[in-house]
Amino acid sequence: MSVQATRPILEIDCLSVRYGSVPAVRELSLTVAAGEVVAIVGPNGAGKTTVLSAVMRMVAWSAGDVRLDGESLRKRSSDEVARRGIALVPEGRQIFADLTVHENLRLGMVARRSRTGAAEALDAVFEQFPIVKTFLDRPAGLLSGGQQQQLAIARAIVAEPDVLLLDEPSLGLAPTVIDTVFAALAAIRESGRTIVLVEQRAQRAIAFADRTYVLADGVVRDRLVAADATDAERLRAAYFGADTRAVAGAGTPTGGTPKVGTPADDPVRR
Amino acid sequence: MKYVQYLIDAIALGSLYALVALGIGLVFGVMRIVNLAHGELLMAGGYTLYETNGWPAVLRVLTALAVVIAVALLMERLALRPLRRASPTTTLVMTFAVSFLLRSIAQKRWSAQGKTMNLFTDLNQAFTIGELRIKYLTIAAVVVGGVLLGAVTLFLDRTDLGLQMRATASDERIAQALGVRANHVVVGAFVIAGVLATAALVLFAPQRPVVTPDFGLQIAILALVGVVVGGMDKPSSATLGGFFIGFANSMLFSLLPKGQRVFLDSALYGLVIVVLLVRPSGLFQRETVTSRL
Repeated sequence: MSVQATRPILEIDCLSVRYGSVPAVRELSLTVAAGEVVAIVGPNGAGKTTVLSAVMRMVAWSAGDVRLDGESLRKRSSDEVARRGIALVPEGRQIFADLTVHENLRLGMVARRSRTGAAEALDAVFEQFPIVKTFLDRPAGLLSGGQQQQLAIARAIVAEPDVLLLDEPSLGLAPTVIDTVFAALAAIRESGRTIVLVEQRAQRAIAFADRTYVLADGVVRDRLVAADATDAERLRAAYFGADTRAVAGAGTPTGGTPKVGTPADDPVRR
Repeated sequence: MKYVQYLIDAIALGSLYALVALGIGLVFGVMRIVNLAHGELLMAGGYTLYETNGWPAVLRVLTALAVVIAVALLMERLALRPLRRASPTTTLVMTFAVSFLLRSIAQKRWSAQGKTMNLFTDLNQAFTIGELRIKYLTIAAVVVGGVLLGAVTLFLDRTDLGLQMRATASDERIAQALGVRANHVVVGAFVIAGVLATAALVLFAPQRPVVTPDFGLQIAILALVGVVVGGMDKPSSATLGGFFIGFANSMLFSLLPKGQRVFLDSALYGLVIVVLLVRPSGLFQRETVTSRL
């Protein structure tokens, strides 16, 4: 990784989020370097979506901080976070079904920081997602699931964000469509954009990402690198805790001894 | 022929209520609250017309427009924006409180006794086509109503702010996560609501020339019922609901025997209940396009 690539662009620092009295994320810290692809995996209810929602300021923090390029997002609203260069592709696409594909893309442009280059950004999106151009004037709700996912990603990248957050982009899609989505993500990575990817399909996400955080019960349980994707034992240990067989045998996959990561051993942290 | 006459009168009144209902519907769309103080915008404009009596008509209308928009913006900034994160019930009670406050201020300043607005009274004159007697006001209501509804539709369809308002009405959280500024769309909705309320006021003034503290409340309650009947989720269905309630009001008034017109409101609300029983989500609410997996 080059010196440029190790510059931390997104820092989550001891972040806690509660839903009422229920803690969803507990003192979680992770760092993403510019140009890096970081995956967050973990079982249902681990807090993955909450982390992304917290970064976007769509849920309130109970403690901690998130910094974009060194600047705290504590006092920022959701729209300000978007206009500072973070874009979210939300879980379940969340495209505006009643609006046309083109209108969805126009909404994506609201967060653009530069007044120039909008037409070029749109052309680049059309090139990357030809289906979006084909159905430009169609109500977005009439697109298939895979097409809607492509639209959701296209809507996020026309803003030309520094950091792209993706929440379960493969959810509910057929395997071939998932290939298309990951091919698109690979192209976005090539363009140098920083990506944070939340996925249930852990193996695929781990293989795709430079680094992966495994979350459980709102804390970082383990860290993985792309090479770990093919190491079944390593994945089991990361998911179920160190004492894999005992935990798996007891039928309590989230009840193992988690290896909680600390900011100090983060390879990209200053 | 008398039924054609009824129909024309009903279309005119429907157009006026459509204007008020669209204002209520737009604000509901972007804030998810029913602004119970919407009627007081008309009242504020009404007293402005009273105070400016003697000025050139165009200047009076423009002054009323400025006052109504100013009251709408103050309402949003001082009463509703601080409660943006509060529950809808809290905000609803706040709009109720604002409505009371403004009516109380009006009562203290101008008393409960009606004041004459004295605007465009010539529009009450009529011309005849065969047996039809058509007021100039009727033509004005239909034309102004049609033009303004068309203009707002174009605004929502063609402009960036209009698109952002539609997106916010559809899913506020996602719209904001895309960079849409909540304050911009809410202010936009209140300004448009103010313009529409002023237009409705100017067209109501010749036929209901006396403004009282309750002047706007009576109009807004009926328009609100129209919004509920039409369907609250979309500006278009709210507008059609407003049109429906004005249309039905006028039609029932014409059709009820003269001695029975005291039952007009009962008949109207009876009709509303029947409509809501048959179409609980709204008369003009079409099935929305649902997202597919």
